[in-house]
This record gives sequence, structure tokens and C-alpha cells, in this order.
Amino acid sequence: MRNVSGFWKVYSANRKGVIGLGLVLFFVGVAVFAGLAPFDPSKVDATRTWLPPNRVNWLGTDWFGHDLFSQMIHGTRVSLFVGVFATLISAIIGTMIGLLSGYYTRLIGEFLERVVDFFLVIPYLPLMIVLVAVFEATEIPIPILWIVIFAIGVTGWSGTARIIRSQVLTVKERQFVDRARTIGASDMRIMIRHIMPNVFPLVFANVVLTVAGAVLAEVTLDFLGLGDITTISWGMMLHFALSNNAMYRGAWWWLIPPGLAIILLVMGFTLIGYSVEEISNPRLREKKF
Amino acid sequence: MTALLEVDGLKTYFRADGEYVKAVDDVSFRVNKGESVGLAGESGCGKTTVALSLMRLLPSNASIQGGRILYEGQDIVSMSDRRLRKTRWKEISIVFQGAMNALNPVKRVVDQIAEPMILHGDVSKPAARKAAERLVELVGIDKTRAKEYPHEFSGGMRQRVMIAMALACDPRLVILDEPTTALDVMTKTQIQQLVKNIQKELDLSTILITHDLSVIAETCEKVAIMYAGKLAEYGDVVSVFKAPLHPYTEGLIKAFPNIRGSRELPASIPGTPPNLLHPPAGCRFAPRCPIAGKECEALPPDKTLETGRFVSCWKR
Repeated sequence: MRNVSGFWKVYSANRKGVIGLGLVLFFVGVAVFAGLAPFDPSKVDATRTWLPPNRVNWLGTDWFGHDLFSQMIHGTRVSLFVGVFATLISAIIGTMIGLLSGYYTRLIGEFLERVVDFFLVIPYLPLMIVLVAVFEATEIPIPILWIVIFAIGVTGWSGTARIIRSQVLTVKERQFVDRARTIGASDMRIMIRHIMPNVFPLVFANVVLTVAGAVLAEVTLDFLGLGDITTISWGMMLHFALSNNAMYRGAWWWLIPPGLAIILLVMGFTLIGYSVEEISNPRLREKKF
Repeated sequence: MTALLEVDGLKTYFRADGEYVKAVDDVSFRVNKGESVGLAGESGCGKTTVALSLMRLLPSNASIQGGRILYEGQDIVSMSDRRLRKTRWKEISIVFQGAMNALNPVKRVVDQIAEPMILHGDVSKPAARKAAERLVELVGIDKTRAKEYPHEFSGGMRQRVMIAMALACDPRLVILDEPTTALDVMTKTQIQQLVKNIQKELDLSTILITHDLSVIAETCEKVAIMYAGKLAEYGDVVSVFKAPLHPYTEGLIKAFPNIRGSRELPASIPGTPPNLLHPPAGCRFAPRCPIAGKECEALPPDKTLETGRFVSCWKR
């Protein structure tokens, strides 16, 4: 517990980190209490279309007569859900591959490194699009949301793997690793019990930054129309806004809120990621005298 | 006295650019039960390589090319990996050089001491932790501090922790690799005293590796002097220090200031140790030896005296 309060003490002194945490907590709160939204986000009211913000519809309505404020609130859920789960997948893959390729530097490591190279240079957006398209075309009954999560997860781990590997390469040369081997620890135990805790702060900082990327990727896929058109998300809102000429009709209230929310959420995660990195890497800590 | 460990003609070579560096070349000595043997010599003479060979913990570019290491009659060199894993730590354990780096910075001290017990599979986790706390007390650290992390410990305490860890599985032979090197004089004395006490209490045999002859004089019964991968001299501490046979031993002893004798500046041995990639064909010490003669260009004979002393020199 001392460590937690110690961490908080350092963290709360970091202004960027506090702002980022505030932003993320705000969106998490919105997602948790999304049920309290004033309207059913998918309810169509043909009498109330193209309305600018007013007393009933705080953020106006769209071409179908959806209440945009309620859509914004429910969209938060999807963005966070996809962001967190896709990141979880890529963090697990990235950490595992990073650990293995850093620990077994010979054949396995070299092979894994080439795989990482491949994923690093491949443009992730086309790959994601292909993955989603292929999976949606198959008859496998997986919800599209999970296909999106999977596609983002398996394309976004290469950076994490590289960073973990670089750290594992230095940690495994430390003497305590030799000591662990001497006392009879297996490779698996050395990797998980001895090396992983030493690279964990790095994983954490990196993971938080990956969430920001995953949120953006989800928005992109939805915006391009590859997401599930029946779920309400910020990306989908933008997708429909664009395909219904919201820009041409001057319906700024359909475009600006989702765009702004995306920016704020991504910024929130990025700020947290940077400040965790600053804290876990003292060389980046701001000097205070 | 019966031998616990017998090293016989040990050869450990490092591979470098297709050539062999003979880091340990034909070294033989023995450790009796309950005895402590000091292994001394300059940096790079192969002391640590001997220690690592004894536990087969050599880096991947090094290998044992010959000789036997008999522990209770069993040859460690040819032992199967499984048996070896059982022998390590339960029979022979090691206190690594540089305690600062041999502790995992993100694990509690008590868990690190308990780890070998758990890995050797004879105790439950809570029991291992209890035993680890007892060991922490045995090496003179308050057991309330056992739950702390290594960075909260001083250098001397970390060395104590390493010793406690070496004792975790009740070994019979403990190798101490430079246990006092990076410590200040006071702490050094304390650690020496601790090692001595524990050795007596637990009836341990120890191999103490150091370049500091004074440590050996104070804690060991036997001493082995190594030079450039070869054993130069071996014998009991008192007679070796009183009447060294090998000119290198003599030089080493002279290099230490004597507080009782006349006030002379300590003498040094001229020159530097040979390159082990291409060592001198004959006696490896010959180029630096004050009494070297023509015969020293050939390999010196291994002479074992009646008193059990050993020397590898033409002149003695």
C-alpha cells in the first residue's frame, strides 16, 4: 500500500497526468452511467430531424431524428470498450513476443524479430480493413464489435514487443537472472517471475499509450463503414454524418461533438501514458529545484 | 580427513575467435569436510572460472575441456542436468560476486531467500518464508526488515542476504566469490566474522575466492594460489604464508604491508600476467619470475610434498 500512495504522490504532482486522468475518468463515468441518457439513442423520431441544439435535444438531432446527446453518451461505451480490450490483446501478444524474443536471442528470437519487423512496416490501416472485411465475409458468428477488437489487437502489438524486447535484453544480463537459474528456476519462471516485473513499468506506460491508438483505430474503422452499423459509436456518428451530407447542410452539431470527444479521450490516454513514462523513467522527470 | 570435493586436472577453456583461451588449465585441489579453502590470485587468473566450473554455471562460450570434479565421489563434469540441478544449492551453493546485482530489485528480500527452497520442492510457501526469516536472523539482520526490497538495504546487508540465500537449502559446501570485495573495512570484518561463525555452527565447507590474502589468512585453513589459469601453490595457510614455496606466492605476500616487521614499502611483482590466448610454453610465471632459469622454459613439474603441500615450480 505504501507503494500505491507513493506512486500517487509522484503522479499527482504531474499536471499533465492529472488532466489526462481527469479526462479519462470523466469518459469512464459517462460510459458507466450511459443508461441515464435522456433518450433511447436508436429511437427514431421523424418529426424531429435536423434540429440544432435545443432544450429537449441538447445536442440537436440528426437526419433520422436520433437524439445526438444520447448517441454521444452511448458511443462512449463502445470507444472505451474497444480501446481497452483491443489494447489488452495487443499488450498480451506484445509482452509475450517481446519476452520470448528478448530471452531466446538465437533462433526463436531471430524468427520473432522478423515477425515483429513485418508487423512494424506493414501499413496497419489496410491490414485492419482486410482483416475486418475477411472476417465479416465469413459465416463465423462473431459479433462485428469483437472482430474490430481482434483486428485492432493483432495489428497493434509490434511496438510494444520491440520495447519489451529491448528492455528484456538488458535485464536478462543482470546477475540476478543467473542467480535464479543457479537455484534451479526454469526459463519460464525466470521470464515471468524475474524479468517481467522489471519491465512492467514500461509495459504499463506503453499500454496506456496503445489505448489511445486503439480508440483512434476503432473510430477510423467505424468511420470507413467497416464497423457494426447497428451499434452506436462516435465513429459511426461521423460516418452517418458524412454520408448524409451533414457538412453541406451546415449541421455542425452532428460533426463537432463526436470529433471533440475523440480528441479529448485520446488526449486523456496520451497524457496519462506520457506521465507514467516520465515517472517510471526518472531521466524524463521534470527537474524541480 | 575425508574429501568432500576433489578437483582433479580441471581444464576450462573459453572460445574466442576460433581459438581457446585457457582460463583454467589443469588445476587440482581438494576440500575436506568442514574445511575452508581460500583461492587467491590476481584478477583474471581464473578464480571465478574455477568457481563457476564447480557448479557448471559457465557462460555459453566456455566449456570444461578436461578433468574431474568429484563431489562425494560423484563427477560433476559428467553429471546429468537433472542430477546437477539437485546438487546445486542443496549440496553446493554459491555467494555470487557483487551482491548488488545478484538481487532482483523488484522482489522482496524474504521471497528471494525463500525461492530456492520452493524451487527445490520440499516446502510450502509459508514454511519457506518462515525459514527464510530465520536465515535472515542467522545472518544478523532484524527479521522485521525481511519484507523490504533490496534497495532499502546497505551493501553489507545485501551481502548478508546473499549469504542467507546460499544457506537456504542446507548445502554442505558454499563457494564465496569475493564476498567482501566492495565493502568497507568495518563491514568486511563483520562479514568475515559472520562467515566464520556460520561455518562452525553449520559444519560447512567453504571455498573463499578473493584477491585479498589477508581475508584468507584470517578465515581459511588451506590456501590455493592461482596464476594465469594454473595452480601455483597449495597448502595449509600457516605454512604457505610463513614459508611460501612458489616465487609468485612469495611476491604476493611481499606485496602486502607487514605491520610487525621492518617498515618497508610493499614490493610489487614487475610485469603483467600473460595473455591466456598464447601463454608462455613453459612456466607461465617465468617472464616475471626473479629466479627463473633455463629449465623454466619447459613445463614445470607438479611437486607434492610429504606435508601435503603442492607447488608447481622447477626451482623448489
